[in-house]
Amino acid sequence: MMPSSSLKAQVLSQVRAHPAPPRREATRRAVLIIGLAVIAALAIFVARGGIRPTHRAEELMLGTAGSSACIAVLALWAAFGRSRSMLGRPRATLVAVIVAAPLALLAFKILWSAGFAGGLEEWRSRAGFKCLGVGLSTGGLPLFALAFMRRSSNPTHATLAGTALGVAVGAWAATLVDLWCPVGYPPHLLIGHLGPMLMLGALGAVLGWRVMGIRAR
Amino acid sequence: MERYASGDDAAFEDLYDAVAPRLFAYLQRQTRDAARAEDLLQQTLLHMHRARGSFARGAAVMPWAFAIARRLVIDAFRRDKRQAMLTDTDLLGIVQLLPAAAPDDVAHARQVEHRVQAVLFALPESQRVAFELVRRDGLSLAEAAQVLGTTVAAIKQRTHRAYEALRSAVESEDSA
Repeated sequence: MMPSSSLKAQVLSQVRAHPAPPRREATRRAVLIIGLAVIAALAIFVARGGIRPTHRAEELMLGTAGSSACIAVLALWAAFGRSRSMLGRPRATLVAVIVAAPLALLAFKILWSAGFAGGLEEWRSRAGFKCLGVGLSTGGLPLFALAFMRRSSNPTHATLAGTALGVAVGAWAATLVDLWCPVGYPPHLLIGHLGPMLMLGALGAVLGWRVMGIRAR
Repeated sequence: MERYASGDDAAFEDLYDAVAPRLFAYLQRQTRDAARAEDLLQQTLLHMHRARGSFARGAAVMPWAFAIARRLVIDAFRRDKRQAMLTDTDLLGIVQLLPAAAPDDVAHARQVEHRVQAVLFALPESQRVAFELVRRDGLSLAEAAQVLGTTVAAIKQRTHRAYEALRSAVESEDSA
């Protein structure tokens, strides 16, 4: 069974009419897009007050922000990396990112903060919604940029891939939130530090389905 | 595809020649409509063209191409709410894959065909799809696993079960 000879001419004509950038050019554009998104996110972070140690011990801050950063790097590598496959990571890897990253971040934050006086103290005036705002505003643009880079890539598990990407970007945003927010009270952490990860994960699921997946015309 | 991703524009024609026949055969079987198959083939190839810049170095092309084609077929069927049917020639092709089968007359061949068709459609979809990708479309177990997003062990098990079910069907017809 062979396609008609006219189809080949048609396809080649369409390819010539709508050229796509090769890898080097596409990588340059991607770096630019990601770079701008990160710069914009950091600008939002600085505008909201930037790094605010308040009364926290340096070791406390370094420990929690450092662990968040490490989790974010690992999660992003797992969620965004493709190894040598165009079809994305296996389902188990993506589910592991979605489940493990938020739990690890929360667990480390609580356990590390517990080692410092007042580390888990309740702050009545800080329910966590300001942190939620900081997390969403600093994570949104990088998530859109990364999803755009993978648009129409058709990973096997597009929705899961998008969810994992959202959670991973949320871990990065949680790192910034951790530098900004001195509160270690667990209910506050659930709303303000974990909340952005979960909401960005949900947004990532939609982006995975609509942007990263493909549809017949 | 690697050459095309690196900037060699002329490589797309080689890519077309390498993947189009196999993809078309797959799409033709799935849609039973040559025109529809050509349309989906065109969409598949254009998706591959648009992904030129993000093609992962060293990635296998066929599983990716089949995954795109499969996604487009599923999406198209979802819209059209049609079921894929096998043609009679496809069934003969399946029967020939089974070593026990040697239909030596037309009537007997038709009987075997119908039996195989019934068994194939009765199979769980996961087994039928895995069997077709490996035994009909020529993908390796690893490639089929990539397309379906599962493990090689699962594909092996599914294709084996499908093969055994079809072989039993052919043998029972032969002995009847």
